[in-house]
Amino acid sequence: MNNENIIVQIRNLSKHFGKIQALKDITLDISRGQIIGLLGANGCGKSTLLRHIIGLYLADGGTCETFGTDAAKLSPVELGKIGYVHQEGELLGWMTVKQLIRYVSAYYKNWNHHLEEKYISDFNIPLTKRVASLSPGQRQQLAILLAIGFDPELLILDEPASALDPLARSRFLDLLLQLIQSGDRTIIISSHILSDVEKVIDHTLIMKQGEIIRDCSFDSLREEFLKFTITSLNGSLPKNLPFKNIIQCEQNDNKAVMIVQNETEDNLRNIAKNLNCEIEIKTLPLDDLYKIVVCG
Amino acid sequence: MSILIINLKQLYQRISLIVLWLCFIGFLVPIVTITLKGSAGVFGGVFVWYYLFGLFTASIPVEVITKPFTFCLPGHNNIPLKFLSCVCFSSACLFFIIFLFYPEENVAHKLATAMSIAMAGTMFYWLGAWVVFRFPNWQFTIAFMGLLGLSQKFNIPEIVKYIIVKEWLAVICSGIFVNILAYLHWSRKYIARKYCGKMWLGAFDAWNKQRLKVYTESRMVAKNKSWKISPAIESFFIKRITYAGPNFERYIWGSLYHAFAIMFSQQSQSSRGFLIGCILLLCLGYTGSFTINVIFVIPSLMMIQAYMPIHSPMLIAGGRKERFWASFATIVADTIFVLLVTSSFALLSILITPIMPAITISDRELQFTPLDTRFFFIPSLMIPLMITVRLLLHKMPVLMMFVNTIIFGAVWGAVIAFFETKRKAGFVPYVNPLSIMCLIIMAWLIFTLILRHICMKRNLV
Repeated sequence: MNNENIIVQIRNLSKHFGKIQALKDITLDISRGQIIGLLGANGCGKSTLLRHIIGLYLADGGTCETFGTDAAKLSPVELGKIGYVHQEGELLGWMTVKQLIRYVSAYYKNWNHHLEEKYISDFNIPLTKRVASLSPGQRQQLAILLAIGFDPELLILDEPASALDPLARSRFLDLLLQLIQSGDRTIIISSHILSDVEKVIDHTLIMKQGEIIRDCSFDSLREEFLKFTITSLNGSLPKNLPFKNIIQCEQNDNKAVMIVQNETEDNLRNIAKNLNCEIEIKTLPLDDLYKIVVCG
Repeated sequence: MSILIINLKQLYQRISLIVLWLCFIGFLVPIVTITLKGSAGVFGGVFVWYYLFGLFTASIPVEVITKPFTFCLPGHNNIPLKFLSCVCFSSACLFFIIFLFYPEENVAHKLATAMSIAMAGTMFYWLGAWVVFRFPNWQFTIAFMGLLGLSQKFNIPEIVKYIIVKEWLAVICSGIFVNILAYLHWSRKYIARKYCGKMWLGAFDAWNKQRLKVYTESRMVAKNKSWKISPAIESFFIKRITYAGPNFERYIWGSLYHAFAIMFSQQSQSSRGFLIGCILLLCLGYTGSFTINVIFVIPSLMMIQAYMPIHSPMLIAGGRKERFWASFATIVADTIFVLLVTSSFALLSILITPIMPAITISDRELQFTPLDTRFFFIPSLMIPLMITVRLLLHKMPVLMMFVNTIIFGAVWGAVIAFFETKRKAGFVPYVNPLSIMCLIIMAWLIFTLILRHICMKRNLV
């Protein structure tokens, strides 16, 4: 991979909070244009990792570089390329929405007023209301606007849709797709709503107890695990089916539903043909893939 | 385990409360000592003790009852009453026993005095409890304790002693009446529903930045109309942020906007604050000698919660260096602001001194004393020290409060010592402009180094 394309480079990053090891020896490259889904259980270190990338946390060991600079020393120039929506949703509650937008936009010369207007009308954000009086969902919408308003090169979304209602979530996904289509923006999304995430990501990072247990493209993850149903065309299925790398299997007399790892579709079809069975192969949704990778 | 027992368990389960109860027990020692001597001042001491005890005791059930889930707990409606009554009865018994040792002529008088003080004490206890349940930011009432400095001048301890000892029957009757009122007040039908999910400040929340922020925001929402940033102020700051140079200037203006926009926009609040300051000035001016100089100390104490853009996860394109310079500039601006305010009051006190009349109360003539301008430097010494403590202990608000109280005590003690020594010796060898200057420079140096260390070498969330 071309080094110029790498915008986040993490090497052997570790972080402790007292006796708890939040990050364990993480090594990771994030390239320009990648749309990454950062997945993992609560407390597995996702937010900690993201905060290292923007320099809010300092590493106990290893290095973390963003845009080629040590994340701890990021200057306004580099930080001006990063949009960040954090899960706490902490905004300046004493301002009205309009005042907050004016305040944040004052920091960015490249503030996109056209996008701002479109977003406000799409999401129906009340401009004259005080930020503290907004509902959690409205606050999140506002936080997203503030993070994308200056067309950042790197957009970090830490649980961006957790407080949004289904309609707002759908609009948010549309907006995200528009952002993805316009230019080579890098986006990291940490979310538990996997059905949403899978619509936009092209790369997955799965974390477990402070470690990255999977760093691969979403397509390769989908190809790695296949779910299929075989139905016998002439009576019952043999008790020991000749499939390899079986992760899960549910079988009755003439039908079996299986999940296999690292098997090709052709190979599965050949085996089914030899057994005189009908086979239906599906790729797994991210929800199931996540469960398999994390829980085994 | 009953809900009442669970509530009472809080009394010893939290370290901060254990420290607080130890303080209350500690104050009992001088009360007992003065009681044995039969001094008049003990009665006032008991009432102050009871009032503070009522405040902090009531802060526990109010903390529980304002949680969103408590409304669902079975029988929780009566818990505040049971909890407060348990503690009230125990403390009344304690003071009844202590005052059995009050030097009186006969046993009947001793019993009457002990009963009288216990009952009068419960009145102040219930007053404290009522304040907590009435005002979400009840801590502000503690500030008025400073006015007790006036009591000596107005001969109040003797008056109180007379009422407690001689008019014991009236006091006992009033005590019973207040206790009945308290019973009726806390046994209302929908008390749990009234407080459920409300934003209230707990015993130590005055030093909890996060909690204060949530509280302030909820108040702003409630008073949406009155808390507004003036368009002129907003435009003044936004223009400067937008057109500032490429260095730290933009972030400094941004931080100053945070720190001062609301304050400068609220002309009615500011004039109200000025009016309260003037009233305080007039009252304290007549207490004589050094007490009025507390005006130099109190604003510094209030600056502990001053805004600094260090630990904010909200990302505007400012790095660690920018956070450092913006925080530093904001604290400097805050200090200058406090110096201006306190110096204005000092000047005002000097200007009005010639026209202030002497007041005669209980055969005592009270002269108005102006602020001693030699103490004008106090904010510039206290603010960096207290902010340094806040920076170091920002995750431990109770410890921060404790250390800052020590600093406050030390500075105020130094002011008192200055006057006392001056009176006795006529000369204070080590207090001179040079030593004060050195102290101020040292305080700012320590503050700057710690601030820089935190901004550059610590986690910012």
